[in-house]
Amino acid sequence: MKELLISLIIYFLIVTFLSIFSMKYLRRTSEGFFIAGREIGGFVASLTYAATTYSAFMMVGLVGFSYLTGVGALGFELVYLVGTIMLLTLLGEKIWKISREKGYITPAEFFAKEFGSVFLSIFITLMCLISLIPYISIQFIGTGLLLERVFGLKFSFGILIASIIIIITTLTSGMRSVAWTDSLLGILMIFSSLILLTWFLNHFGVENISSGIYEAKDILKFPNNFWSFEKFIIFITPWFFFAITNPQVFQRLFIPKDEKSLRNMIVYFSIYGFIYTLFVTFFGISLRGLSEIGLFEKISDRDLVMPTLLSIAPIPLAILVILGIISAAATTANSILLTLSSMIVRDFILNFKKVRENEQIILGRIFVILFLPVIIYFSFLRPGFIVELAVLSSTLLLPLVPILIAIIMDKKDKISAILTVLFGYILALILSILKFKLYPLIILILSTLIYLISYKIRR
Amino acid sequence: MSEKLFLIISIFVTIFMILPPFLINDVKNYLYWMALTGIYIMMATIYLRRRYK
Repeated sequence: MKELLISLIIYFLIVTFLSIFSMKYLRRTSEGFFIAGREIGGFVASLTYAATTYSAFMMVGLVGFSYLTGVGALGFELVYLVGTIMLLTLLGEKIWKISREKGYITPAEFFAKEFGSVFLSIFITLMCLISLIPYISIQFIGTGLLLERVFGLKFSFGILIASIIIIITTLTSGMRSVAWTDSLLGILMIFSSLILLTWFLNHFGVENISSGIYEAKDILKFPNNFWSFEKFIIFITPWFFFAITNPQVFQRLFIPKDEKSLRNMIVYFSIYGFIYTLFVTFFGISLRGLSEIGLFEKISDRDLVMPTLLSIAPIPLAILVILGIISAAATTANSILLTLSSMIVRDFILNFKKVRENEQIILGRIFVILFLPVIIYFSFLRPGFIVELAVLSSTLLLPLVPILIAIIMDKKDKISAILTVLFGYILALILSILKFKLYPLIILILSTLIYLISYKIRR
Repeated sequence: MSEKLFLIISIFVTIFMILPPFLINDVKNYLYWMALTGIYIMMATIYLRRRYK
């Protein structure tokens, strides 16, 4: 407990120092605050991308998910990685160029101004706001569960820790401090999981791990009791398009300083993502095998698999990994909050009132603070498992896919885009609640059809 | 490697990531996924390096 507090204090000091130091480079414009003046190099851009996309979902949610569902979880996460690399490689440069040439700062601004519609700007902002609340809340839930299980601390303590990091990193110099701290914490995330892996192999022994996995053969099978074709499609469809539907990662395509940096961002992220995914799923699958042969406790609440492993790890190692996971959670939550606050200021308020550049920065900071209590409240409700909440968030944003493709292919039509987003989102809400058969795929197909039919009629 | 060729490769890789594991239903599916993803990352890297020298 004492060790944890000392480590947390050191951790806070480093994060605060880095955030305050980054203020030296802050340009006091909305572009400077929200997207770091488009001046980020490839290495930092790749780490902030990785830290933003890989959250508590990975070391808490995905470890548990692999524990429960076996090797299918690896397939699901690798399909996400392939989808992201494909979208970034094929569309990244076009999105980066458009945003730079036309000076777009937020994802909603990108869509709204390309179609020339104020409605789109307001609606997409609200759509992202509603859809991303479950996703931000899982970052708090992950942190709370970890500290509760490993150190017996209250769930609320973890939430407090995550909130402090978010406030420090986002309020200082916006995207620049977020990107810098993301880079440091991104390294901590992968480094801590590598050390955990080394201890894990030593502690349980490679022979025990492999015999455990073979004992529980069902976890190596795909499809198996959990994974059917339908379930796999439901999970991978929203995840495949994550890179272009989720505003916090979409906005990261605006920040590389040149084409070479954009290229390096994609390449380094791909390697990072591949290694991190293999580590994470290996923990889940191995622990399930070890549970089968009685060397690890059998766990029914899958989000508690990693916290239980850390409760038996040596304390310094557990603290290091917990800091890594808290980092993953906080870097995702702060990026989403910064993106959402930039959207509220630029895509909502600016449509009704003229706001000066420096006032936009102040408003951006105010909205970060205002969002926090809502998300904290939602986290306390603990509305579901981490993986399912993450998939739900991305499913609701699927209607953005066809309108982005229309922009890239230069087949733009304002009314068609409005109809697609409006009806697509209503459809996404209804089908997600009803858990309709193959609902993410149906949402994607119907949204695309709405755009195509409307576009053809209007042409 | 042209953009079109990379797009075609990407579509095939996506299809191969989803369909064959269901058809094969083998315990070594995880090796297949890992290998395919690794190869795809290498291809994307080559494509990007040639595109932005």
